[in-house]
Amino acid sequence: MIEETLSALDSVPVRTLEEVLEADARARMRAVKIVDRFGSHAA
Amino acid sequence: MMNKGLEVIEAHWLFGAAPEQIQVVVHPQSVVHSMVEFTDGSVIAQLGHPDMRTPIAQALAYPDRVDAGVPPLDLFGVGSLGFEPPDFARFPALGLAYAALNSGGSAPATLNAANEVASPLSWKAGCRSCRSPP
Repeated sequence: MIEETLSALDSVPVRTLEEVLEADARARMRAVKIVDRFGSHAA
Repeated sequence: MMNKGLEVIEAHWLFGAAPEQIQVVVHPQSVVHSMVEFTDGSVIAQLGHPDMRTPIAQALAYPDRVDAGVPPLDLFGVGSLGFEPPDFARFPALGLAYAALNSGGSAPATLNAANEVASPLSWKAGCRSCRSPP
């Protein structure tokens, strides 16, 4: 799941805390979607 | 091992070391806590009884030292020290951390966020495929 999240999101330059927090939020959203997909497959 | 991978990324930022300069060493006895190699080939290692009270005491008292209540290191009791390279196939999280570090930019933040989403799921039996890799 972590590997898929990493491949799904392009690495973009981050210079400020705000940019890091935006990257964090994007990754969490994507990771949750992947988890949901796993969950629906398991159900 | 994801924690070790995150520590590799920390070491890069804290010490300005390039990814290829940071090596993870598996040391089953947990007696050697850190090693630094100098340009002349000399290596300084920090040894101690494996007890988290020591680094916590050092962090709280720095630059002084306080009694952490940790027993003295018994080298004869330890006997020997073993060191092994990590098995990247068995511990894929390490490879992911190095890959994120080499990608740079937002990749390490993505790795950390995905790990934080995955970690709580490792305790849930219904989502084995979501587990944080070892």
